[in-house]
Order: sequence, then C-alpha cells, then structure tokens
Amino acid sequence: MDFDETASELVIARLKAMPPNVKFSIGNHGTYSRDQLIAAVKDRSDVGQAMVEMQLNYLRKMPSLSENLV
Amino acid sequence: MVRTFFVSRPNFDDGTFYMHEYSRELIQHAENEGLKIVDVKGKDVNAKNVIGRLEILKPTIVCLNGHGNAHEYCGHDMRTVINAETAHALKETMTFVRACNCLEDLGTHAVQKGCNAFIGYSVEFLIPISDQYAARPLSDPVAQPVMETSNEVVKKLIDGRTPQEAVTASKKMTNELVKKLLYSKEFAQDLQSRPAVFALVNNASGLGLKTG
Repeated sequence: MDFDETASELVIARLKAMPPNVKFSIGNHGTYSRDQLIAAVKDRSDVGQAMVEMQLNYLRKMPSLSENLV
Repeated sequence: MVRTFFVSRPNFDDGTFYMHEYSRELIQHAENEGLKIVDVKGKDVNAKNVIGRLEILKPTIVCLNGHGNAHEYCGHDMRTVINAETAHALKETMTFVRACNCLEDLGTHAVQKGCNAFIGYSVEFLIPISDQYAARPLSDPVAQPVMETSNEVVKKLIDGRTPQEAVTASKKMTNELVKKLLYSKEFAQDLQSRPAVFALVNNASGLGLKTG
C-alpha cells in the first residue's frame, strides 16, 4: 500500500515521540531503532511502509480499544 | 493420557532470541501441569526436525516461535518449516504460531488439513526491545508486557481452556496492560511505555483463531 505525504509526516512525528533507546523487532524485516524507522518511512522502503500501516492501524484501534480488542 | 507440549524456538536474531527466552516460562508451566515436553530449539528448528517430530509424537499443544509470512512459518535462518504442503503435520493439534502474518493463509491450510485450532497473527508481530536489556530479555520492562500477553495464549491452552478462551484471555490481558500503561507516570514523563503500548495494540489487533 502506498501512503500519502500527510500519513508519512504523522507517523514520523509519532516515531519521534518514542524513546531513542528502544528498538523494534519487526518480524523478518529485522530490528530497527527509532531513527532507522524514521529514515525508512522517509525513504518509503518496505519496512517504512509497514510501519506507516501499523501506526495508522494503531490510531484506528485506540479510540475504541475495549470493543476492538476483546 | 499424558498430553504433550511441543515448542520450537529458533535463536538467531533479536526477535527470535526474545521468543526463545520467553518460551522458558511456557515450558516450566507445561512441566508444572504434568505435560510431556518436546523442545526443539536453535539451529535444530528446521523442516525435517519439526515436521518429523510432530508426525511421530502427535502433540496436543504446539507453539511455533520464529518468523513467518502469510504462507509459511520459518525456523533457523529464515528457512521454511511449515507451509501449505506440510500443514498436515499440525493435524489434531491446537497450534499457536508466534510469528508474523501466518493466521490467514497458513492457518486456513492447517485447519483444512485437520488442525483442530490454529491461533496466530494477521499482522507483523512486534517486539519492542530496550537497549539496556537486550542481552537480558526476561528483565526487559518494555518487552515484558508484550511477550507475556502472547505467552498467555499458550498458558491458557496448557490449563485446558478452549482456543477461543485462550485468545480472549490474551486480549483481555492486553486491554488491562494498555490501560495501566496509558495511565502510568512513565507514559507521560519518560516515554518508556509508549513502544510497549504500540506493540501491544498492534499485536492484539491481529491475534485470531481458525477452527475447522
């Protein structure tokens, strides 16, 4: 899925709010630091696109967490 | 009849190292409940070892850790272990695959070939890792809630709960942890809870079940 500029900017802002000392293991994509993920989103690489999709999914789920998770 | 718990846990990168270590708790729990343990780990997690032992030992509960995609579960060094062609190896088991995206396609094939219940994820399975604890996963406060909610699935199966009850218990635990973390001082002040909340919500949103 290809995401527009606004979605990428939103995700980059959200990633900047993450602590710099925590990285993410993202399955077979490998392990990425916060700054590597920001670069991946800017580059629109596969893992960057996956991160945008995950962050947008997170934002969709959060408002009605109780109903959606159980 | 003694039930058998089969676990595979490769260990060749950060993510598999964390799953390898957090599976210790599952093995201990199964031992405490009197189950026979079959533990395939590290470089031994390959198609020959896993499929061969599943077919011979016919375990009741199967927990496959590692990486994956919609079509396959992979073991050591990302080599294919179970795909549509070999999904018959999960016949008559309750299986939990802790890997990315295996639920929809692989899960469907497994159930079509006789798997009683296939629990897995339809999203990327995220593990947040704190730099300070990367060598000590069991002490990592950022990863701990994420790994414990996925462990909950298997613990409930070991306890004799149904697959649906196991999934529901994991999601309920996620809900409680997310609420606790969101209201914590750490979430507002030092940011450490944010990666855990993100991973918890992501993983739980894709946790699901296929049954025959």
